[in-house]
Amino acid sequence: MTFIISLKDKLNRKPLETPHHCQMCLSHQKSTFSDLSNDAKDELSRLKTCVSFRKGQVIIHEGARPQGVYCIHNGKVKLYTMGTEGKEQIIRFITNGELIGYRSLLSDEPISASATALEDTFACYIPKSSFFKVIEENPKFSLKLLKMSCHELGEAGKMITSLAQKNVKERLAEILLILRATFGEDEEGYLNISLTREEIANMVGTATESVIRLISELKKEGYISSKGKRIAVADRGALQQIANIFE
Amino acid sequence: MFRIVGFNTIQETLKALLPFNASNLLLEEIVMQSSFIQFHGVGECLFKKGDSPLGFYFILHGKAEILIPGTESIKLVSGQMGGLDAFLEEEKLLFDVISCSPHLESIFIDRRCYEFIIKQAPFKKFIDQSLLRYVGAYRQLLVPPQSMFL
Repeated sequence: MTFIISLKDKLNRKPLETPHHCQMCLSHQKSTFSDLSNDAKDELSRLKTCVSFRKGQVIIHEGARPQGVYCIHNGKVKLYTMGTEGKEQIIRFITNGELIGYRSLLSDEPISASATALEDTFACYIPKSSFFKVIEENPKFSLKLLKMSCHELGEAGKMITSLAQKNVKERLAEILLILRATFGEDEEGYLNISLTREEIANMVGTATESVIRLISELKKEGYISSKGKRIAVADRGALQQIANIFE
Repeated sequence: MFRIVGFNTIQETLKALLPFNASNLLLEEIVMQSSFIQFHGVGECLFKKGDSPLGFYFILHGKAEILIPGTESIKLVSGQMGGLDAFLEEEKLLFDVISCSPHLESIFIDRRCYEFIIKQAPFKKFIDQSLLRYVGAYRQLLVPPQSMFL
């Protein structure tokens, strides 16, 4: 079964409409599955389930053993672990076309980080049997997964170094740059993601009060601007200097 | 076959399974704080022996079983919970818990969600009853078969 989708059909579809077939998905080009053959996409589409999540709803919990992966069709998701005293440490964000849960499926271990929708999110749940069949039959896809896994390992290493060696202001500047690179900016130049100060603090790894103080400090210095929860990067170069990031 | 699972589907299923009349507000909060997990095949693992009990599964649809070596397994059906005993004891899982129906749907309740639901008296009673059912099922396995007395 192969679907031929015209560009017109794709443009006519609302972004949140549930895709019955991976070929029809608007996030398809960004997706990990983009290079797969039509047969492989048929296999993925055959058993998948579309699950919708409300803003703030938990998608997956640390410690569970889901026997499949989630591919985000539309939405923004935070990945975090629970520290002692129930404090969240945000590890990273997931957006359209990215996968959740593939590493625990490959390693046959429980999920190591929880995921919560930051806005109304649609995801496709692909069962283990379809996912593994596609891996076995598509060496290029397996290599892509390996690359993704290695990349995430590298990013985790960078995060450990950042948490261990950088001060809070340096980490905050780095996080703001990461958020800008991941989600981009809206028409007014604000980051295209709405995070509470607590969530930013959970990503930086500090107290909410410190983040509030440092955001107003960066604002006074003219490096960022803010309006309610929204933040805009005004001087990227200066933030890079503060964060000790060299391009 | 392609299916769509939304927030309301989970909430309605949960409402139908609970032995008391839970308010929609409460059910909504539970669905928000728990995670919906589905299993597509017999023998898929909900928990493996030795897993840390960071939560437990509440079965919405389908069947699961606790595999106890050398004896009968304990069957879990819709409305029952897998891994609850280890979760409450805060000890690693002693046995594998697997799905035993081709399609199983569940919600995973972690400690944060548990602490929320336990504050509601009917839920607390329900959890206590589920735990007693567990104890009963384990005790049943310890009773020697009738043939021993014949």
